[in-house]
Amino acid sequence: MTALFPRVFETERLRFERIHPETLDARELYPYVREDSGIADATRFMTWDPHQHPKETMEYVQYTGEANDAAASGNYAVYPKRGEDGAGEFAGNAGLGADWERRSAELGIWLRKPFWGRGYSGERADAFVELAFDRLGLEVVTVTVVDDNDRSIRAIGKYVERWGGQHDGYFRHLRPHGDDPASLHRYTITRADYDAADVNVDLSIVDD
Amino acid sequence: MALFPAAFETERLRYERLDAAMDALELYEHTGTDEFERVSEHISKHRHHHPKDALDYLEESAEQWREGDRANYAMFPKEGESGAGAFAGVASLISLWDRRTARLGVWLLEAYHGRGYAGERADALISLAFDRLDLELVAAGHTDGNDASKRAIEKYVDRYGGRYEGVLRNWVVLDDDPRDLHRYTISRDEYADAAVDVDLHVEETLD
Repeated sequence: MTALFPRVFETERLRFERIHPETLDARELYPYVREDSGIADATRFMTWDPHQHPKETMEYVQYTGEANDAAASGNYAVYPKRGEDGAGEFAGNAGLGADWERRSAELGIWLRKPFWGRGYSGERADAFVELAFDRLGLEVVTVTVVDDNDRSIRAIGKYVERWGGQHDGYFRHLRPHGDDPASLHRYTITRADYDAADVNVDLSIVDD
Repeated sequence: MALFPAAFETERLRYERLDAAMDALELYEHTGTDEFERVSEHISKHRHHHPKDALDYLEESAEQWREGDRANYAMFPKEGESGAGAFAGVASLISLWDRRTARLGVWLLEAYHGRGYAGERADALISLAFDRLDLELVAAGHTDGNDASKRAIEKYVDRYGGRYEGVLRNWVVLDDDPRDLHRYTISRDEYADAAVDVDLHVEETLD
């Protein structure tokens, strides 16, 4: 049976495997997201904190799997392919959250520091933009980012421009973020932008 | 003291907790009409198809009031106004506590359009949001094409030194159709700096 979100897919340099208890062992993931793993460099701007113990990681994998079963989101472990430095190593997490009622897809990613600066975020974004419009039939792809996350803002600006999308504004207290509200830049790529854009996407579905 | 005052007054309007001020049949007289269909065209509220819809709305309103999540007020023009004492519409303050934000909403029957009631109501709710509820931000929005709301919002947001933030694409779902929302906000600092003189008298209980 074909799931809404593919189980495994690849881009030019990356392989994406669904985060789900059936396919990902939390014990494998834990060393990369634990307190002393250095992940705090990435989580500074994220909606989660480094994990205190493996049970937290197990719950994360379960929760993510359930959201995937409910067709609410697709979250993927990212692995560089052969030929890349650190090939086969867990590099981070990339996801697409579907808000079906709003016909919107929200993109998200975090990468471990050794994998920064390689343009992986843009390569991943192109693949998810294609999935959102072409496979999921959604109307808008969105991404939000906090104001002081300069690296992400640069990466996002680049791929949003490539797709003819736009920065829609800076929205104060748009979402809860832990105990505090977060003010966020929001960018969108609409279906019209997507149709008009001429971007060559390298995406192959390995396991539907 | 309850989070929301049971009633309050501004220069030309009196506001009473909606579910205490109206019963379902009274409300339905205003929300079951073609006029209401026009009035609610751009907002996430539907024409009531029968009095039970109005009753459900009032019960939801009472529940949200108890939870401290939303205050809906019936608005009545005061003496000296044309239509004094008649029901004119609903003013809402939606408290998004986890975002420390008050979202404002309003609808007015057509006879009360063009009098600046929306702005007068905004002043009062903005003051309640910051001074009484200790929130940090007031937000308002309108969908594409709702020019009357756009003008009203721009006017009071400007008065408080707030800002137009941009468009939230596919944000509000009206009749299964996601619509773009233009969002405006006023922060606590902007509110304090603006020092707008607000005419507001609060009543803790309704007699």
